[in-house]
Amino acid sequence: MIVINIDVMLAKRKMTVTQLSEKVGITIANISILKNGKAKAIKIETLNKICAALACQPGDILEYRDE
Amino acid sequence: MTQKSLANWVKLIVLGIGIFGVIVFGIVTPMWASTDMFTTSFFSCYYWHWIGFLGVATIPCYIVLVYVWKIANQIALNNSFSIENSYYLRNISIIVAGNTAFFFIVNVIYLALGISSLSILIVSMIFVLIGISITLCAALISHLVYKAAKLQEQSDLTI
Repeated sequence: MIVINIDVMLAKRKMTVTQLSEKVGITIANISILKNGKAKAIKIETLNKICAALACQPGDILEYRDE
Repeated sequence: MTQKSLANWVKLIVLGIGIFGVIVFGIVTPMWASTDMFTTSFFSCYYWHWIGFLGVATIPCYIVLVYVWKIANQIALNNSFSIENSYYLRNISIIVAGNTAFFFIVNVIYLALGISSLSILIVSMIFVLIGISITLCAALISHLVYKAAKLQEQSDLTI
């Protein structure tokens, strides 16, 4: 399954979840859904905004793990 | 009309139908059946057969009203397309199907036993057709609500 590792990039950029949610324009609840692996899909637009906010590549936050 | 007001209207109508049913089947029908029109006719020996039959046939209707109330609660919580609602609709379909079958079978048995007449059986077919229609509609809507609930879940969990 695809896992979204936002915590590592947030720590590297010294950014809080609240600051990320404000920059990306999605709620903290939705960020939590992403972090907890409960999201069923992510829009390219959202991925764009997260990568722009964290100044990273999609591969830095997306990881595939065997279930 | 907002969801909350729709839910309140549905609950009001459910309450009204419930009270109306109690008045019609609990008070008016027994009183009407004990008038001269029936006590001196073919039905005079079978008063309790018919009152009991109608009473038993009314109980599943009240169970359906409970499910409709539960659906209205879900609508009020902005949870119209939910798995719970699809299950409630499925249960309504099953209950109505069972009650319709019961209604038809007892009518046929009463005719065979001489407690009823052919004209009553023919008129009761209208209620059987209504029951079959409600069964089909509830089953189909249950399936559609289930699919919609799955789409809603997909949409809610798309960030």
